[in-house]
Amino acid sequence: MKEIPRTKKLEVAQYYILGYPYNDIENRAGVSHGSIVNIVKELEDGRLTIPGTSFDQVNDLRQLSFDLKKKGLEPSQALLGLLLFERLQTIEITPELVDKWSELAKKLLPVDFPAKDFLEAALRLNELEKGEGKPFTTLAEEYVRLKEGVDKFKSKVDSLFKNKEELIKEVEPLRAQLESLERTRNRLENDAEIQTRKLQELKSKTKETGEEKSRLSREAKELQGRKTKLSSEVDSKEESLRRLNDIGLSDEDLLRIITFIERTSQNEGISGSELKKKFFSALGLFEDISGLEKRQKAEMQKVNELVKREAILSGEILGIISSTSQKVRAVGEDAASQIQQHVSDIKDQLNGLLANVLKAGEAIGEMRQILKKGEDSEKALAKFIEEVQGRLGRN
Amino acid sequence: MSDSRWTHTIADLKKELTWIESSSQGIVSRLEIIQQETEPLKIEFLKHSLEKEREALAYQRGLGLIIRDRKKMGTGLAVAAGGLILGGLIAKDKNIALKAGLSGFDGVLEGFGETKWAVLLQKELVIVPYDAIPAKGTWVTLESLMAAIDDLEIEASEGKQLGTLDNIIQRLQQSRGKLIYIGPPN
Repeated sequence: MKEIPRTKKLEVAQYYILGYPYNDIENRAGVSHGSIVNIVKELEDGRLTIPGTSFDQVNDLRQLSFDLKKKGLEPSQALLGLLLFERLQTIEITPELVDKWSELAKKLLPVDFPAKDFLEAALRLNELEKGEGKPFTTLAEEYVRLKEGVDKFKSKVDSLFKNKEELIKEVEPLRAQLESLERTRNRLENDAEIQTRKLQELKSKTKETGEEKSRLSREAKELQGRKTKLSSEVDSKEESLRRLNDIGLSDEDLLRIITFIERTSQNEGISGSELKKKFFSALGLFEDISGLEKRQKAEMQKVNELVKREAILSGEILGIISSTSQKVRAVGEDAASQIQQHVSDIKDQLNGLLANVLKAGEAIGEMRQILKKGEDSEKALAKFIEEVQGRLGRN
Repeated sequence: MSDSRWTHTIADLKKELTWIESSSQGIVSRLEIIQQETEPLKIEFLKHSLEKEREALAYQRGLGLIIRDRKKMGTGLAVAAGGLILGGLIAKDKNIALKAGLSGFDGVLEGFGETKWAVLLQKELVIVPYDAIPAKGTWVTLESLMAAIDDLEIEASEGKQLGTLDNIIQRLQQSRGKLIYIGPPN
């Protein structure tokens, strides 16, 4: 039998190690089945050696090749597996623990949470903790607490803003009503001023009427004085006539006086003209007395008429003055009373309203003060939180 | 305007003014209550901040201990983390599972770092473990400081004004009956 050269044997050994079945090795190397069996036996016996490789390793390599072929894997993929194996070994997961580790990983991973996502989430969590210098639970608790605090403050702020808006809405119509009241008050004051002016005019008219009355009274007094004077004059004339009548002087008496004068003139030797002059002088005196009497009568009539007129005028004036005064007084008093009553009522109502406005204003002022205090407290609290956070530095 | 309308308007105005007055008084009372809550809030926030600072320091301290002595702590921590994550998964929610697991893990870390604490009650509030108290400064125990702060919180809830953080620190410094002073280790 011809000896198979060593190179051919090594080729057969290579195919053997690579896990090819005997049929393939026959086709590839061009040797018979029996020769392949012999070459493998030589390998097992150690008569055929591959430099640097023991037979155990040869078997291992063939077994490895078998397994790779069986699983349809390439050597590069096997190399990747080796890399993974090394990594597992660095975290002290030995081969006998690999299956358990795999089972545990499968068990831990939820169906709807892929391993990749799980790993990425863990990495992000780790970065977050490093960045903040705090554990995740602390960060989560702080977040929840701060969010609750923010929600609480937001709720309070919303409530305060709502209250503020409601108050503004309530104050607006009130302010409009106050302005309306102010306008009404001004109108009433104007009305009161007009009534007061009318009252002043009535008083002025009353005063003028009083002055007219006093002037007429003065005239009446003057007429009365003139009447008294004329009366005294007439009295004196009447006295003279009374004396002539008392002495019984008549026409016959006058003829006798003429005769007496003529005779006397003759007897006494006094010229007629002189005696006539004396006589006419005496008649003149008599005429004067008659004239005076007539004038006295006329004057008396005038005086009586004046007295009557004065009385009438005085009565009329007094009546007019009295009536006018009474009317003016009554109207004025009535108007003044009504105005006073209205003004008093309005004053009472406005005073009452003003008291309510003051109370409401006082309450609103108090509310504003407490609101200001609240804002101050909020600022103080915020400052306090900043101070605490600032001063609680890590040692 | 007729007398009846005038009277009616005045009566309406009085009613509205009375309503405004009572509403304002109601708002005033509510605002007063809110304002009264401000002072206790300060104390509450101070306590909360001190506690959070202590927890953060304990966490860091626990982490430091693990890094320093990994072999000793490693197994225990791995078991704790795995177990806690598994526990979270029972809830069938991936976020809850992750959060619950890591939360428990953090708790374990905090537990490793927990110790007694001291506070430097001066301008700056500094918290340190007992075994790291610096030589300078006057230090009080965190527990005694918390007790003193509780007293202040009672006063604040009764309406007392506490003022700024400086005022509060000053008042706490004067709570000598409550505070327990400690000196630096020899």
